[in-house]
Amino acid sequence: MIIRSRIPAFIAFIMCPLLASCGNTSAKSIEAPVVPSASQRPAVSMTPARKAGPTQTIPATSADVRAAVHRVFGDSVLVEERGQPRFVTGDFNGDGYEDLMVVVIPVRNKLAEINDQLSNWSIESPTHVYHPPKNQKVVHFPPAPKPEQVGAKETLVAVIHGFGAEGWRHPLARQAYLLRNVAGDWMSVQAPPESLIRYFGRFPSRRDVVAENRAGARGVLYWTGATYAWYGES
Amino acid sequence: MWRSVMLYVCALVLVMAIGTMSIVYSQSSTQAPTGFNTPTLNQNSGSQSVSNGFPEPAGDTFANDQQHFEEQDGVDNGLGPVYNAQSCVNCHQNPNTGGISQVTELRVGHQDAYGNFVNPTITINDGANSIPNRSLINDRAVCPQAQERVPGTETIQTLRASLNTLGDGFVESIDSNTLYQISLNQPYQSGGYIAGEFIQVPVLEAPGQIRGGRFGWKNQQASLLSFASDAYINEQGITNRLNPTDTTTVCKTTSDPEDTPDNLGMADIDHFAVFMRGTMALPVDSALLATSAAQQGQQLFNSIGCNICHVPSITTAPPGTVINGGAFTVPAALGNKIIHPYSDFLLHDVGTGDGIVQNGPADTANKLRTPPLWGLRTRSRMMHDLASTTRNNAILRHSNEAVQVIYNYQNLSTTQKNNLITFLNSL
Repeated sequence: MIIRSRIPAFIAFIMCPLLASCGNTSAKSIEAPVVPSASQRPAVSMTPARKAGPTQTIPATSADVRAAVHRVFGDSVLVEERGQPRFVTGDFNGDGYEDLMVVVIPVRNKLAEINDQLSNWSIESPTHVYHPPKNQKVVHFPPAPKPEQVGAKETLVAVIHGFGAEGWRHPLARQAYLLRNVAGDWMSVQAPPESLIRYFGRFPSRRDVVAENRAGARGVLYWTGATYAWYGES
Repeated sequence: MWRSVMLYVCALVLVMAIGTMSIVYSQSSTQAPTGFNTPTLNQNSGSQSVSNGFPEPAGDTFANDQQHFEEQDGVDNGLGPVYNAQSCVNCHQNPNTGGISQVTELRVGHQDAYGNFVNPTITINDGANSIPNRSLINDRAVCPQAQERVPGTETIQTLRASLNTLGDGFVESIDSNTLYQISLNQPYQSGGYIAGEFIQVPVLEAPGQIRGGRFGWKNQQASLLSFASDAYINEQGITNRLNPTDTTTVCKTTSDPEDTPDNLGMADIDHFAVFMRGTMALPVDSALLATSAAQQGQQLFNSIGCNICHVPSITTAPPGTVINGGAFTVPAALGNKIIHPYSDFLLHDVGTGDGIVQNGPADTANKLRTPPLWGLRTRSRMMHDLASTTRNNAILRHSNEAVQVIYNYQNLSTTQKNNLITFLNSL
């Protein structure tokens, strides 16, 4: 009797939460505003804002250079030892960290490893870089070039981009390039020449270029932002 | 008495269980529908397109929205005076309407004495007119007098690839707080190397409101209507209600706004936004993904840390959530959906930055949005400048914030690298 008299209340008791839960599906909520707090902003120790110049100023020694080349390229290439090792350091890619550029030769029985499509370095030919002309309405890019392959008797320029205060000596500094056809008689670091700036444009950050005498032609090696390119000053 | 009490307790437990199940069921997330389901109309007579179920405005259809997206504009309906293309589909087409393309746009600028990015002022019409404060250089004009050319003072120059718009309705429906939380977690996931920058940008259709940016290489837009309006004025030179003034009046013959409502009360930008909101998320190549090589590659992708920025799964906001500063409510078709964009939609410095600042603060000059990897298999060239032709090269171009992850990649065996790339090719 007691139960029977309370059936309507019992049904209402069941229906209320059910209806409430159904109501949730159509209830509107508003995307809460995001208020980034200074205390919540993560501190990143290894990726500081770009600096005005390289942070590493310790002079490079031949031993340092050999160690870095071995760390990045393993046994695939050797530092060119005929005469004095030819290497220069500077901030070539404009990220504020010191980079290394050194003349190397490939190890003959490591060519397959050097040219492997999954190798840990990029093989580039800076003299073949296409620079889109300015002041043209439509630029037709050339077809993608065939992958560069290093030959047995080539002399190459190896580049190791630096990272952090240790620059190219940092254990994680392994972004590397092997540049073909640009190992010149001498290498010196300088600021981008005015003629290059007129040709390419002023770079978005301060960076160094490497002046060379390549088969009698003077020019500079420079980082375009995506690749290394050769600019013949003559 | 006790029998009655026991009955009430049992009923209470039952009701709580049913109520909880009902709430869970109504709020549980489901996978977003996927597919390349927008065949380009002029190559497919009669629409074969299928939407994700986004509710169409009265009288409108998904095919009609796609028709607007593919419409070729001319001078008579407002094209130019300066522009890059005649239609949305000119840049967003591969493998079908709304996708990517190899088309790039040109942006330039310079730095002031303090190293801050400064937008250029481009003189046109033999110096008689100028286009101030705009980094975009349009590659076309409706007359020679209006053609923009880069002056020698603008020494920062970059190319930017056209981005995919398929599945962007789901991206728009991600709660800004979700993206912000990802940015907060990254330093802890990466030992302090990675910290995506979350920026908030104006929502054009909700004056005075800001929201987490997520569209464009610089995260310069937060809503698809804002993005459509921005693209219509900047890429096609067609003024609209949210961007009512042309870049220049040289050779201009039409009056503003050039994009006016049709018989449905919708302007072109509304159709564009509805089209993008109606597209499905990008599908994987499920046959390739099922191979053991791809499966192992997927595990490596996560274990070496690619997934910290290329986030594999994000769940959109629940249906009914009001976003875009109050201008849009997430519908059931887009809400509580699990998507696999392989992006955090945050800005990072991976050493490829272009020096350009748009809607973000000055420190975003050398940062770019993590490109979503969904649909990666439709790209032959990669990175923002399309300068990478192989997956390996694109990976090796990552540095700075990504240096630890790339170090891990370089230590993989050839087989492992191949597996990782097989996985990428399945996306």
